[in-house]
Amino acid sequence: MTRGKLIILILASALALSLGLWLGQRLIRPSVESPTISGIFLPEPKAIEDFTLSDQTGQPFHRDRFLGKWTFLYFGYTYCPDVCPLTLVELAKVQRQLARDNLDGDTAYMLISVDPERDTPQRLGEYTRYFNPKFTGATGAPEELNKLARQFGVIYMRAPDSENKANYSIDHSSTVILIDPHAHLHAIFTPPHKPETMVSDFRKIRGYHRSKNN
Amino acid sequence: MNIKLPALSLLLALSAPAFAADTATIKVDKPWARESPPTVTNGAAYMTLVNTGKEADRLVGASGEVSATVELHTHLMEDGVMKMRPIKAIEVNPGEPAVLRPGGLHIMLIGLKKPLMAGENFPLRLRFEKAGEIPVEVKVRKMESEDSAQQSHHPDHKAQ
Repeated sequence: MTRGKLIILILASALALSLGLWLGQRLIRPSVESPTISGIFLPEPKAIEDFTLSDQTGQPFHRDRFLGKWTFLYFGYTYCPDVCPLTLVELAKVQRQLARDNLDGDTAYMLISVDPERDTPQRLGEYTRYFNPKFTGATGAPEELNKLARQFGVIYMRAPDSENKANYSIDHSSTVILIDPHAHLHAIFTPPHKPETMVSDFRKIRGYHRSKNN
Repeated sequence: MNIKLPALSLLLALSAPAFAADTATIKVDKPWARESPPTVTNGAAYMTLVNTGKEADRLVGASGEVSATVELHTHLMEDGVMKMRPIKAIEVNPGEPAVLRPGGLHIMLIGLKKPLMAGENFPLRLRFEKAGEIPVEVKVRKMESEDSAQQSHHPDHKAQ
């Protein structure tokens, strides 16, 4: 072997080694395991398709509103006597814990009403504010509501025994949907909702998101 | 005569004295309701029903002036969808307290005559198949204080 060939070989192996190390690092870092949460985590977040609802001030509410922050979405209605207040109380605890942990700067919390017939924007505003000053609400035409809800597998229907009553109740999924700052569906929290679990799950999700996007 | 099971004695010691006479075999533990959020005209009352007798009994109804209608309800979770349904009765068997709590069995108050305010009480009359009518005072609590109510007992494990 000539001296020249030896140098080339050494250089080549050095290059291969550093390439290997670099690739290894790149591959190992993102393979930080995707977080296990109390619900469904989407390793490949799904872009949200546009929709048109109205928020609690009566302003149009579109997909763009999700950009730049993490949004917790819950589908329910204000006449719901039990499960919705229960979930909103838990979500309010999540908000306060995240605020204490300084993780609350870029979060939003929304109640999407599946009862546009009774839940006016004003009513939604009063109702959501009561649970937490950061909470907002939105609702809209049935087909627009469905456009949003079906993207998360959220379903709702009037209870069969109350179809003809003025005081009807609505069966609905009680999942909490997490939308990321790129307006992608990122995770679905399944009940029962425990604030401490949601907070730690959210931390994991954010950490993972950061490591993937750096 | 009642023979109080040892397992229940602690529970009974902790429970506020029910309004029923000492001979009654049903004790009603900590009846409470959530205060009403603004604009809301429906509510729910929760409590633990303990049967200190030997025979099975059932809560078959409730009534009160607090709302236009008072119904017994339960929640069923089907395919991730929470369904609230009226039911005819709630079984209260000896040694198996019936726990009415958020997200489960509850007494639904439909069409509240005025909003429920934290710190206030309202009366309800519970109707049992055997024990007859038992009046209770339901305490209205703030939204925040729900944890303690939910975690105070775990009788579900015993029931099965």
